[in-house]
Amino acid sequence: MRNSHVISSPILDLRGIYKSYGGTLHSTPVLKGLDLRVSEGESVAIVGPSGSGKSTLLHIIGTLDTPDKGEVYFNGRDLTGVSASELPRIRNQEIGFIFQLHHLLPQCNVLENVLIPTLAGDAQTREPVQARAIRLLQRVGLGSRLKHRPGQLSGGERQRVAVVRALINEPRLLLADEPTGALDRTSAENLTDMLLELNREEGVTLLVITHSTTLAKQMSRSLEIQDGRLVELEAGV
Amino acid sequence: MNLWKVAWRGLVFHWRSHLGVLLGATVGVAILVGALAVGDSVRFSLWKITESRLGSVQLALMGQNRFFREALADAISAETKAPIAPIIMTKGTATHEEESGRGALMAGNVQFLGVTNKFWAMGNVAVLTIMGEQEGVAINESLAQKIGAKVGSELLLRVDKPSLLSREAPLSTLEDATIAFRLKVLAVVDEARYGRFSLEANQIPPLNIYLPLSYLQSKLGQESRVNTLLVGQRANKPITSSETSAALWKNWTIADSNIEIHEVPATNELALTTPRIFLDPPIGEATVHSINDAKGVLTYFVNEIRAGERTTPYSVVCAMDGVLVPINVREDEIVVNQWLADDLQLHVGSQVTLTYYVVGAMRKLETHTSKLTVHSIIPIEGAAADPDLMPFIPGLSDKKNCRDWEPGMPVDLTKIRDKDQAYWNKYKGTPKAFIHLKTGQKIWENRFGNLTSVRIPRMIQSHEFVESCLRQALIPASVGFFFLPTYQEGVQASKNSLDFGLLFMGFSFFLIISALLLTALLFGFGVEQRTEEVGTLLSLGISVRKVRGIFLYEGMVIALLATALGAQLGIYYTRFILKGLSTVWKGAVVNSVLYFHLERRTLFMGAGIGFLVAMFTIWLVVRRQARRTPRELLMVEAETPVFTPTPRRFTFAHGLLLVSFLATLLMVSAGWMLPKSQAPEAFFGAGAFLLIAGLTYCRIRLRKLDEGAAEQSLSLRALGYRNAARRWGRSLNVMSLLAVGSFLVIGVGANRHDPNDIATLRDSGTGGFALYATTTLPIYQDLNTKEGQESFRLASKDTLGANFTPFRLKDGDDASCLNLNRAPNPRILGVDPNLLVATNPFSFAQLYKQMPPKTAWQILEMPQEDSNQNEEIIPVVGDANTITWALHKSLGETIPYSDEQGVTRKLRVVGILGNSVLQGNLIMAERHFNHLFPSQSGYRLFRTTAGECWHGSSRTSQRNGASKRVGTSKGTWLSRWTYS
Repeated sequence: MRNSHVISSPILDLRGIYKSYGGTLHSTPVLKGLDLRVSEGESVAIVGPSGSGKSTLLHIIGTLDTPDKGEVYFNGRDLTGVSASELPRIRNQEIGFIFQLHHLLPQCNVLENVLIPTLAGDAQTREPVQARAIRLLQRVGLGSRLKHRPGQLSGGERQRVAVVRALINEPRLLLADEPTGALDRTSAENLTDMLLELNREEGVTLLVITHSTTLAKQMSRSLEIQDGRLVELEAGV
Repeated sequence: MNLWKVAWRGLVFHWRSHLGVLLGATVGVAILVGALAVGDSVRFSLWKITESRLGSVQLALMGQNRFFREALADAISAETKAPIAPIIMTKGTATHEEESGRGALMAGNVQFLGVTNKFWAMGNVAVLTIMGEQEGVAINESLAQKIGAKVGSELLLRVDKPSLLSREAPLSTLEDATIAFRLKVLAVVDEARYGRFSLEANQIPPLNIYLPLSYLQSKLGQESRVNTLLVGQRANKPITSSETSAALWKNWTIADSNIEIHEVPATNELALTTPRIFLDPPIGEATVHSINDAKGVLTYFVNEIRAGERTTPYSVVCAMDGVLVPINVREDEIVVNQWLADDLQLHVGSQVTLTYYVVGAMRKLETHTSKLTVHSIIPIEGAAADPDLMPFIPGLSDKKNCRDWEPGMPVDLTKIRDKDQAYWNKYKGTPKAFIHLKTGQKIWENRFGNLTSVRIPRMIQSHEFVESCLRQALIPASVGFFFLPTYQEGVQASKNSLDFGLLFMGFSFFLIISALLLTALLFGFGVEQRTEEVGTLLSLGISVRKVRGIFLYEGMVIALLATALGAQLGIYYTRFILKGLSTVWKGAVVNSVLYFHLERRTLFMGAGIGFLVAMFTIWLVVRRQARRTPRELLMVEAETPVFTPTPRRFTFAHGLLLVSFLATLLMVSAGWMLPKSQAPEAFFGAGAFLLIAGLTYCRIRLRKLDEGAAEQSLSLRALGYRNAARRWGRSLNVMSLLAVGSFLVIGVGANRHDPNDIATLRDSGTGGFALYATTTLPIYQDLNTKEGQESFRLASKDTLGANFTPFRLKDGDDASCLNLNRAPNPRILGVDPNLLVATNPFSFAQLYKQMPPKTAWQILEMPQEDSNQNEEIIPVVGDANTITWALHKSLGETIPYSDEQGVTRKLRVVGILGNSVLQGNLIMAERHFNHLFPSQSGYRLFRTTAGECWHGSSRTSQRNGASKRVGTSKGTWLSRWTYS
């Protein structure tokens, strides 16, 4: 079932993205002139076989990597021209990341992990954020686990913490890389529901990379990487 | 939530991996603090030893072999209000016959101290009554230990008997050169009771014997006279040497300079003479210049006066200007008295030849002659009949019969005729001939003086007036009496001692670097294990600066903890080392006691440096880690840096390998070609380049291994290679650690020399000399002659074919590595450069001027261009370690040095020897030595080439300990023997 949403101006616009790996001698092209346009509030799934370049694409969108060629517009601004010192701010304030392997800091408890992104700002802005963090954690059912360390949580719970961490700075774009890849079915379903709910209620744009057709089907749009380019999938695929 | 909190969480969570880092950094800080604490402890110990050896002594006047009135001490003390202790300080030997009958233990270089109660007051200790009811001596602990003596032991003591006339002066005798006496030990004086008293800046305890002053005075024949004044601390304000010098001058009498004024009835003159026979040149000059009509006289004892076939034996000839030798007498003319003219049938215009002895090196009597023409013949009357023109010569003047003469030189008494005896009976030492003073000084002047008396017309000047003029004109310092700022010099010597802190830091450099490498390695491991964490933080938009900050905060806590632990550990480490040096390793510091001392400033400095260095190391690791992109850090496979295969065959690494390998070959070649003294530099240079070449090669190989990993079949070995190549940085770190460690171990081992290996080579550190001998008392005889050797029972098969090279020795501070103090007044050796040129021993590492290698020692005679009439610069040679470490000088620099007159001379370092047994001394040409230190007579240091049987018997005697029984010290292949 597709979510109904209002399509507005594109928050993300990728034009002619090329990316290859392995140096000059044994270069392996991954993305070959890929184009992508995502509107604000959309939920988009990108699927494709392993090694097709899904994660590479996500890293380029999330400013963790740069394309060899092509332009990346975020909210109308060309990110290829943004300075190296400005990129972390954009990453911190505008984009939320959810990784397949949650990447929580094992030494910090649940609440602290959620608050990690706030370290990028100054101390004064952190106080009000703490209340929001607790609220979000309560919303995802972790209100009673605030002081627990990641090692004391289940896989699903850890991933929920990662989701809340991604949302703590109220990003406009949420990037999720195989968010349900390491979860059991029930946990995966719960997480999917949660992400869609956030998309609906918070209006955050959702871009999910997944192997899961179940998850992909629940997005408003699904795209597949084929030979380094994106191909729109028919509804129901 | 803040960065500190995240850092703290990381610190606690990863404590296991931080433990290694903490240990590494702790060791680094401990070594740093420990090294600096050793420096503080050595400085403090030396200061404490200075206080202990000097007590409250501030200044000292050391007359050495010149004695003066004991009462002078009270006079100066009354003038300056400072306590002054008059003492006799002289060197000798002490022998203790062991009760077990195993033999005698002898100690040379023993300091004999004739003291009064005032001396003990200087040491701020209770008066030690040495001779109360019974005769005896007190000895200090070091001497007691050395000769195995205790209270009640009987000692055979031998000291140099002071002689007014130098033993090397013409007509002097060697009879009674020493006196020996036996005394029982009544007390053993420990350090707390002034047992360390010494005026030499050295931490090695002296060997002291304390005797009552009056007893020693009587033994030495110096009643009421002393040779040293110790000036103590004044209550209200510090005492200065200028104050005491002024007081000395004021209270100085001519008797203190060993000058006598007596009337000469024959000529109605006053004669200024000295029992030293020759007036000190400053005294002669001061008298002639300060008193009108004063005339110098030089009288000499000649062996023969010949005219053709006729000869007159053993006569006195006088050189003087005035009535007897008027101005019209030419310099090559002689005035003879009637008796001589009759004896030789002389007439005006006759030619006469004077034959006389001149004392050369090693008291060798060289026969010289002078031909003169008879100017006139004068009757023996008036001024020409003055027996007082001959100074008092022991063994000559006091004999009634010529045939009883014993003038200290060979006299053929059979040559003495009855008429000679008759002349002696009638005229005593009345000169038989007279020559110009200038002529006499030209042929008879020696280092002891060029006048035997000064004559002043009695009609013009009174005895008192002459004495008063002389006291005003003669500065005591000009004859060797001046006060040295002993305390100040001692404190300076301890303060400016070799910086052991820096030295130990240098020694520990490898350990410090290793500890830091370990810190970096372990911290790097820790951070690498948290790569994902860094990636997460960066991907969440935390800036690189803040991510580094988190790790630096963690590092800072570790570094702070390491600093605190390391500082404490460093203190324990230093205490442990000092304890070892005071007990099991006490031989390494020559039995010196070292006290632990650490200045708060030093502690903070050491800890601070340690902290900063640890932090810097951690910062380097963090900086490297945060350089990688978040994507690389988050991807597991990205942990291994991917080698990008490059088509270039010749990379920077290849270039570095080639350059460093070529540099290694260059340094190895240089090692062959350069002088041996520079071989260590070439060795370490070659080693460093080889290390770079080796590591670069490993880097290239690791790269190759990684590139070719895919082609290799899977085997355990291939897996090992891949693992090594995967984290090449880590692998190289480990290789560097092991390589540097191995290199240092090999380097140290390769540079440990066994002196026996090359001991016989002329250019080795031994100079090719088989024996090194020092004597407590000077030797005047030529040990290369049978007679000389027999004097010391040296003539044996061991010395057959051996050659002795004698050195004069001016006592001073030991400037060798055994003395931890800076040596303000190093020992000086005087040697005839020609003797060294003949054998060309030792090797020069540096020379001030280009010299042919075979005659390099002639540099000691080379005039210094910037010398002038007022200030002559004296060339000296020293051992590299002495010049660099003990004196802190380099080639061409000058060293200020007080000569015997207290005049500060400039000694220029014109040559630096490679490692040699001459360490601790400065060597100058013998003629310069005699000029600077005229009263130092005899030779006290000998280097000897091997005798024919040396290799057999002497080594055996050393091995079986026989050498120790006769007072020699073992430990090297060189033997030392002590002349008693």
